[in-house]
Amino acid sequence: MKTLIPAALKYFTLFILLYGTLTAISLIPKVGETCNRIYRQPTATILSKMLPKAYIQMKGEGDYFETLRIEFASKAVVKEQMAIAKKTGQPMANITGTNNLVNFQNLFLSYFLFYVVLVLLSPINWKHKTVSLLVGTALFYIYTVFKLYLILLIFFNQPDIAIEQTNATTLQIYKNIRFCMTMGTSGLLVLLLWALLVLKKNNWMGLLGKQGA
Amino acid sequence: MVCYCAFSNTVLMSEKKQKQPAKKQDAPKVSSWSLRQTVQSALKDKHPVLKFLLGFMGCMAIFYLMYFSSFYQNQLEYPITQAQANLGNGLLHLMGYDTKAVGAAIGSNDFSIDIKNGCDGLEAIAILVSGILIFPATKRQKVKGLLWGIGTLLLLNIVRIAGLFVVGLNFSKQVFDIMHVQGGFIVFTIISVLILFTWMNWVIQTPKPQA
Repeated sequence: MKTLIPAALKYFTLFILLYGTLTAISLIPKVGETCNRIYRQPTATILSKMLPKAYIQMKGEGDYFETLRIEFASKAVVKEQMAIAKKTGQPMANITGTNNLVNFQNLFLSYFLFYVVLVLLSPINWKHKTVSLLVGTALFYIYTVFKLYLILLIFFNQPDIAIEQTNATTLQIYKNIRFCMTMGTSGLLVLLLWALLVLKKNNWMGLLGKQGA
Repeated sequence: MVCYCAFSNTVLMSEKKQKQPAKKQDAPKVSSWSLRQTVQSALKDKHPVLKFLLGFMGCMAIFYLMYFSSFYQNQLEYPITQAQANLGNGLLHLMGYDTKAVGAAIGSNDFSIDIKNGCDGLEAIAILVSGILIFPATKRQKVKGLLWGIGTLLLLNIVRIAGLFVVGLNFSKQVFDIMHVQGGFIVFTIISVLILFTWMNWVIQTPKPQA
């Protein structure tokens, strides 16, 4: 076991240095705001298309923009209130929205940085690294958007919100899937994406220290 | 790389096609052949990785079925987190902190932490165990890897819990949150992966006993 221990310790030190640096950079408010904005703008559009019965908008919050505030209102309620305002001659309709706070770091950023560091420290060429980063990031992004979709869908089915009325069995399946989408499964997904996109027969053998790889 | 192979296959076949105009009707076969070739070559290129990952994912699926079951959450979760709280409390006492373990929580007059599902380190341990169980090695090597690996991760998790308490006691909630996820969870996962790779390397380097 002696052969790989120094290499593993070296890798661990590099991992901590790189991951620590990237995390520290992500905590600079301007960087955090940019990351949050890049994530939330397409996400809000996608979620609005996936959940057409609600108006959805997302905002970044927190000292280093670690929070996503998802604000939403039922389209039917908005329409109803607009009609009432029009009937009573009021210039504006008073619509109360609801919001949901999601930790952006725990949802996406921390795992994205984890994936970036894993790929950057992998023994592959830059072309392979770039492709792996792009494809892996896209797949993990889809996973997080799906997670947000489930969070909102379950929220929209609450009796006091009642924007969506999903079939009870389907809703229970969604709830079970959401229950399994923990921080642990996010971390595992990142590891699997890295292994699938980065590891090949030759570098897998090389990584394990097999002779002639 | 895979795309490159597909492209070069197609080009090569098109060139052949031009030289032999009589076989023009074979054109659709060429593209499907090159696609099949590409998939086959990609699979071949990743064959041991895919084989390992499929087994690994199977083991992790079994783990999560157990971990998310009501049986685990009602019967096992509390005793495990309680034991970890007691051990973490013991370590903090050794470090000179006046703390108390109450159930799955460690507290002092100024700060307290509650060990919950996900903070128990079991997911990182499952990654190691799944990898060891799937990797081709002798029973003796697997047992050795499991004992050393699980022992190390359990010990490190106690250090992590005590460390998080110290961070929470001395720094802001934001620093605690960062250390909880980034410093704790992700670093702990990478340690598990590194232990697994170190063990795999040891298995490969160890000469196999002659039959």
